[in-house]
Amino acid sequence: MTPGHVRTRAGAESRILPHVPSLASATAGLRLVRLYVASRRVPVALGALVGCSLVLRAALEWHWIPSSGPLTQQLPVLLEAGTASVIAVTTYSPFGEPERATGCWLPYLRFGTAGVLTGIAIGLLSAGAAAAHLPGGTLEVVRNVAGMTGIGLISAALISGGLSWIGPMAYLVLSEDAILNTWRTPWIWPTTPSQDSAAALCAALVFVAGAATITAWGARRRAAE
Amino acid sequence: MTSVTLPLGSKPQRIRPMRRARLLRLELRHSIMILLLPLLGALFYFDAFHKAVGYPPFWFVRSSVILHELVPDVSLFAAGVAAWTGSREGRRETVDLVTMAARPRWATALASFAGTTIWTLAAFLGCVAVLYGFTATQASWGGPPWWPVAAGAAVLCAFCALGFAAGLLLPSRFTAPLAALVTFLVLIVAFRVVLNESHPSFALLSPMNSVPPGDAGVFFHYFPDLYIVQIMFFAGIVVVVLGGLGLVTASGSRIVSRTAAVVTALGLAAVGTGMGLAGTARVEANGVVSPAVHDAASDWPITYTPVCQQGAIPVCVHPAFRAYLPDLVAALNPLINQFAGLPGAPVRVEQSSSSTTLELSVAVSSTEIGTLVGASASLTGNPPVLRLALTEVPSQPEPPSSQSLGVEQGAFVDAFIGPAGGTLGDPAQAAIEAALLHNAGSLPSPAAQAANRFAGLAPSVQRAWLATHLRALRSGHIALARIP
Repeated sequence: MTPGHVRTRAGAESRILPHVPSLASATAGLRLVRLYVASRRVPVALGALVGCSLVLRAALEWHWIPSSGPLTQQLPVLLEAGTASVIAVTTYSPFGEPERATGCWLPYLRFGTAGVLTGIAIGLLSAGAAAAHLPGGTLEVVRNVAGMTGIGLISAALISGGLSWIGPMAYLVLSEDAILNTWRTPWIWPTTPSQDSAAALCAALVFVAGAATITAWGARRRAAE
Repeated sequence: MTSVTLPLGSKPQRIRPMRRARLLRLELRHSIMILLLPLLGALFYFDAFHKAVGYPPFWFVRSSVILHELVPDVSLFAAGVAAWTGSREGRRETVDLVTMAARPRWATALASFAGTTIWTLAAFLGCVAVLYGFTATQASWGGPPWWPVAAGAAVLCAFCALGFAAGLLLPSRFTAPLAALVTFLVLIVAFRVVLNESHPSFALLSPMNSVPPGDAGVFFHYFPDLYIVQIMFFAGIVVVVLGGLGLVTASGSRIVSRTAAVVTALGLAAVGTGMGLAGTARVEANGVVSPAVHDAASDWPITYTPVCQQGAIPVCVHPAFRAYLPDLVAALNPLINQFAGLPGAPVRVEQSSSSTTLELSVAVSSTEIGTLVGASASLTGNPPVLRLALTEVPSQPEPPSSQSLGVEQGAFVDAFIGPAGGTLGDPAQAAIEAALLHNAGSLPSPAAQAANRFAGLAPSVQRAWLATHLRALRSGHIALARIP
């Protein structure tokens, strides 16, 4: 930190990064993003997302997914829950209070990371299913991944970042049971076809709620972690 | 300045059992699994318990949800939490501190593993207690089967051990969710799909086998062979993993290394034996027979005194089905009255085991025995006696003359009018059977009603509906009520 960043209250500059973009501020911003991404282990998360995509590809290639019946949804929903869990776990912060006290850009970084990772997860799963018949199609992938990520982000805010995978996994168990028993409710969206607008709305609402929660408050930190 | 005399060699301090218990108590108090107990209870209620109460109140059928529903649900979280616990020292970067401590790292790791596993087993056994307690209030015959409980406990311990080892060896925030994901993937894909297709015998090791027929374990003992093999295999995995952890965390200690090597070898022997026994197993009507562990005494039928009720003719059932007898008599009486006086008409109806009705036992796959619906009765003897297998009965007895026993009505008519051997009849036989069932008040199934509704639509309407709903129909997303 340079002396220019520490001002007295009178005429104080409230931001560390200046309003007017400059080469130095852009570099600092990029560095901040890079450090944030590294602290959340985003590169490892990307590797896990690629792994989920490869498993989906293998499942479609070697016909692990039945061509008809309720079991067609089982494996894709499992992998979608897996990607949501991975994204949710990236919210775990190893720094805690010092970071919260000093990082005024944290809400933007949290929102950006969650949003970009969700987009990447959808893209990777869609790419894994490219040129093969994925039951439900890409629209279902978008809806399911977004909704379950929302559950994961809410779990991170309520339980903790490290244990936020519990939310999507609990929802997975509920969904698998609903699929096998042909229960129908828009709140368990994996059981409905991709054209179901009520289910899509529910998933979108949950994602928005999750993104807003994690942006505003971040992941809860437990002493036991 | 004072001088202190230090001993050259210190005596090794023996760790008292109370201190070991204290370590375990600390792990138990701080286990993350405690937080998950309400969640596991809720999932058990909505999934396994909900499904079990939909089955008839027979011990063996209801106990099938333990391995089929409860164990996969709990395994998922057990593996994840075990991985989280196992990765604790790595995530906190305290491995060096723990390795330098007085106790071997293997011992502290085993205490952590035990803490998670004990809570997992407590949750599992609590769910089993609720399930069996509820069934005890409804079942009229027999007692709770304990082999599925033992096999379920072994499976849970195995996934706890695998998750814990993954966390210890690959400490990361992502290990826990990935361990949970892989656990479900193994149960769904590895066992159900891959092994079922390429190595059918080894698929028997999967805890998620098919639901047995309604009268399983009632007329014959359901063989415990498969459970013994599964326990051997999964307990072997636990021992191998824990022994392997000892080898990894030995830190140069010869005693720990040798002990861990012996434990690992014992575990490998158990896993190999389990796989070998699964390879020699064969599926029979009353369960899976593994010749090496099979007890010939379990082949004998269970003795019982039938319960009878006089309708148009005597109708007798196994005491376990006592609650269904009034319904059965009410359902069969209209048919018996139509056949009375005709040549070959039955003079008595007796319940038979589905496993002894040869035409019923159809091998659907290596892990499933299916039943031919509509062929579950046969006329034998002179005077003729109708032997009726009750394989599909509702969870609770419903009022007489309800359609709950429509399958049994169909089987009765099929046995009397249709061809022998349970094969499908010709169109004339089918027409007469349908007319007799109609006279007896047997309504068509909900699927047949939906088919009639759809067939009554104009072709253009049918085509338009198919164009809109074909994808959902193919993927199994259309409920019967949504068919126009």
